[in-house]
Amino acid sequence: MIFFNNLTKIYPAYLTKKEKVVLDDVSFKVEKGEFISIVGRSGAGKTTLFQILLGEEKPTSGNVLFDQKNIHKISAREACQLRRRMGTVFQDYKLLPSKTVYENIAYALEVTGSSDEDIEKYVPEVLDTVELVEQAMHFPHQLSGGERQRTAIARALIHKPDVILADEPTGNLDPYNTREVLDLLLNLNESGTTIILSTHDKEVVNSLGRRVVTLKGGKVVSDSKKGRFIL
Amino acid sequence: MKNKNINSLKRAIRLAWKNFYRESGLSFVAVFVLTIVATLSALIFLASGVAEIIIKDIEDKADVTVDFHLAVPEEVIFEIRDDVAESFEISNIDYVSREEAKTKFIKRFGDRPDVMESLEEVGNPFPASLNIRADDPYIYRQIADFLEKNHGDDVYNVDFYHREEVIGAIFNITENIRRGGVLVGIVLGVIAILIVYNTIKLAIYGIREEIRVMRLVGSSNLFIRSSFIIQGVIMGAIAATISFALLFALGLLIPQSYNITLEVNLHQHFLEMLPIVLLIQFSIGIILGVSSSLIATERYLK
Repeated sequence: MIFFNNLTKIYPAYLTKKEKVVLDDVSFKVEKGEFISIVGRSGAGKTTLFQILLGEEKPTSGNVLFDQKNIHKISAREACQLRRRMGTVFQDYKLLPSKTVYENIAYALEVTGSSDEDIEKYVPEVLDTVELVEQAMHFPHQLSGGERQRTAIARALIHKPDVILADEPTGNLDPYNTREVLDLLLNLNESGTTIILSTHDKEVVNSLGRRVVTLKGGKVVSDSKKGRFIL
Repeated sequence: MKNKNINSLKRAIRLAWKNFYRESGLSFVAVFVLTIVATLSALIFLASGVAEIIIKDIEDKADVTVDFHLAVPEEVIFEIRDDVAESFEISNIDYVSREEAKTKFIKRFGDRPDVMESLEEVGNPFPASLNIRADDPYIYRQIADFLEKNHGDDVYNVDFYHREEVIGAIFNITENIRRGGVLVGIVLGVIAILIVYNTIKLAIYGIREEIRVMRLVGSSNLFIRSSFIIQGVIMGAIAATISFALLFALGLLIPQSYNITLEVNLHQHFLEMLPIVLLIQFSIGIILGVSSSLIATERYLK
């Protein structure tokens, strides 16, 4: 489904007077329906890997194939379509503070031209999935960390994406909320959605018992089917 | 497809409006600075118009009158008039016959019997004359010298020599006013550019996260652009409306009897200029609002 092919990302030297190699010849495949954790310390290249997959950054060399298509050689229109197949969840939620929970989720449908009928039908369904029906009219600042992250997951889910990219989604959460979010991701994976989770949380990785790709200094140092946190 | 496009446009308008009133702090600052720029531009326009009327009026008062001996026939004066008109770049040359000069005098002093009695005794003592006006004040001396040299026998008096200093002073003053106007315009223009630049910076700061989220959820660049452009239009239109209301209120404070010159009333002039002022304010408000939004969004749509 997704193939990171000899991916290298080098940031040119500015203030440091030295180039920074963030990803160094990274190659691995993600199969449809997989739940894969990408682990590594801060600065290991996890976020850059996601940014390249989302088309926010271009690789210095190598490429990323999504269903055989090189995502950096597609048109702007195709890029929009592709992004709708990928739901994104971030550590800092990236919710729009001036919109309610309902509006934040509906927004993802509104800006992609869905009809009002579809919005009225799907948003309550997703709110139900993430158990936020009662908080639908709350603004982000009125929610707990866990509720904010569930809102972000609901927004990622609204397009019924093939894959969810979760970049440190539990980084700001207490253990209870961390468990809730992980259970939600596991449920989504059970229903067929591919999950790519980036984390540096040992407990989270070990509790999942799924495939783990470990990055260190921009290189893949291990890739195991039922991995554990080894750093 | 058409329905989808209309739907997208409606969404973009709704989104722009919601963003505008929900992010009231940013909207207030942006509208405030756009109002300042729109008001400054309109004030510069109005002030330059008024200044130009005053300058023109003052300059029109500076002319040269050439009086002819009483015996010089009209045909000769007409020849001299044509000669001057052909030899110099003048803006206007009027012939005043002896009879016209007398009529003017009577019109002016008709209510003074002593003056009228004296006039009756002497008949018509007024000479025929030519009133010459030129855009360039330095031509007056050349015209005076030309008349002295070529038509000295017919010309009785050229009043330039008595008024040379006054005419020079008038043109100096008007030239300084023009230069001052340009300088004020440049200073205000620089202020306006600084204000707009900071508005753009502010707009970029405010919308960068939102643009990122819009892209991540799969929004097209066209939709992102259109919603922010509409937001820019809303801000520009509101700023123009406020600015126009301010100027209109200011205009009402101008006394109706206040004249800029003998012919031009300031209140009347202001009312006549209102449609152009409105056009200027809306054009500037909307162009700046839209361009700020465009620059701000383009930065994050690469």
